[in-house]
Amino acid sequence: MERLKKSLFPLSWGAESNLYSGIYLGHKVVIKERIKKPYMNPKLAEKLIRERTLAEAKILWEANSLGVKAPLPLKIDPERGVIIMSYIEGELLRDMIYREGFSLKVKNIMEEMGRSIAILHNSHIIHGDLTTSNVIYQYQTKNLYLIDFGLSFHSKRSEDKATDIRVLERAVESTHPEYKNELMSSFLSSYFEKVNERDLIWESLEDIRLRGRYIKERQA
Amino acid sequence: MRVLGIESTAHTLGIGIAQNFPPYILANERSKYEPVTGGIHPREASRSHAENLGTVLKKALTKANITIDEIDAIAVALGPGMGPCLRVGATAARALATYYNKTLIPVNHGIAHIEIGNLLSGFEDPLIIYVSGGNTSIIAYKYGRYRVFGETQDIALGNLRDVFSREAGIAPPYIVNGSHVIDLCAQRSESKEVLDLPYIVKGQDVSYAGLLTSALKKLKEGYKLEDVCYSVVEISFSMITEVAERGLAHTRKSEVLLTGGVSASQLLDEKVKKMAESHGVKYYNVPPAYAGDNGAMIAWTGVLAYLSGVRMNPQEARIDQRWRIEEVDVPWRG
Repeated sequence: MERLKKSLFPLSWGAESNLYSGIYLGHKVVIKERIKKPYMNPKLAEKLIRERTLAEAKILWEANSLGVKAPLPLKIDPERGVIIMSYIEGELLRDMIYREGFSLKVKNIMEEMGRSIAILHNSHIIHGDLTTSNVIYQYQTKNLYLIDFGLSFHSKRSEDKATDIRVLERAVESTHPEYKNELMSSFLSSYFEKVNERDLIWESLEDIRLRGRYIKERQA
Repeated sequence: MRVLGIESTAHTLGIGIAQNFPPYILANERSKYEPVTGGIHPREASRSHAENLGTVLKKALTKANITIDEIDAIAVALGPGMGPCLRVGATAARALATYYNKTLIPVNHGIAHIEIGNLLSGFEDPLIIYVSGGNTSIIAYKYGRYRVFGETQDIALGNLRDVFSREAGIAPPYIVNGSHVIDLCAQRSESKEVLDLPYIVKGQDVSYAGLLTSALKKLKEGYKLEDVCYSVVEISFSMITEVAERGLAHTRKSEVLLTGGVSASQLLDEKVKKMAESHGVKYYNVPPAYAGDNGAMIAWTGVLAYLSGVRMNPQEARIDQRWRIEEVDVPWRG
């Protein structure tokens, strides 16, 4: 690991982790190293790192086995919060929307994303941080990849599935306010076509939308 | 030009006076409704506001050393907040504007918290952590408005702290010598170990209701009060700091502003400061007199709005208990 680190190229800093690119066993990889939060009680920080690293690696594997494209975990070290995973070439959906607006391609990608999330939800996998920065479009293969499962978890509760959707809705509202309706309706139409227990999830989604503080429709 | 601002959204009746040149804030007077038992009763709070309005208004004018004739406009927080409390401020503002023939300016309470923070910090475009008894939001400016990047899905951070303290039998009073009783209790914990309690961060949002329920359960199970206090404080503050950190990564802002009543907590201040330092961004914690609900922030936001041509007819000045900050255009920025 230490030897590997020396040849690493820093990709980005995030709130959760630092990402580096490198070569591992001949593959181009992303090395994700969770940061120990300096502002937390050390034991709490370590516990969160361990739990989140294990959950992420397990879910990355599951997503791939369900046919949802996501990085493949190649090696994990839960104590140090490290996952080595396959590198995904392509463009962030966020940047594509900044560049193209609500183009036909963007519409298709939102629909594809809706189907992918429905597949995950049908296997009770919650992504936990759905944003347009966590989707990569690969031009060569025309494949859509979901990335950053750092906050993902398992749950059968329709409320957690609805929250997943709500997180995306909120991210789209704040990142692409001018296209939020178009983007979300493309996503939601294909998502609800494919997801199980759609009525329950729809109900929960309505409920969660109203739960944020100071929402007009909510009664006091 | 000078604006008189009225704040009465919750437990504080505040009247402030601000102007568009230094020293910007001329007065910031208040009276605070303190319940003897339990939490804020909106009707009781509104009664207290109505009784104190005349006195606080007079104090503000005296402090600024001006008469009402030297005021150009009346600004008032029309929401969000508790209906009966909001009505006191709105009624007073309509009356003052009509009787003295002043321009009336509607102000959103949340935006006022941000703008006074911007004024005091000198920040231009911060990520805002707004934490109080009724609000828990991560906010940033984008495309003409302040946008909420993350918030609580259920109860506010201040609410968690107040309700836990009350149920645990250590409040009211909630604040002793400027510190919240839950922080004082947490500092007395000898173990400083975090108990196994729900740490719930969902994307950019937090949820505190589960933490409250489980923490109260821990008390019933016989865990030491101080250790439970420590765990609640440590977990709840880590959660909000973590979503702020995510907001920072997402928005790439280079300034962090902490405001709202809970920002007075030294423990939260330390956490957010460490987080900001670790990312090399500037950090400012709004001092308590301007971070808790106050009239000066309404007056100052009134100045900004007035200069951008924001006006309202007294007939149309209705309160809005659920007035979200995303609904408000902020023409004085960008």
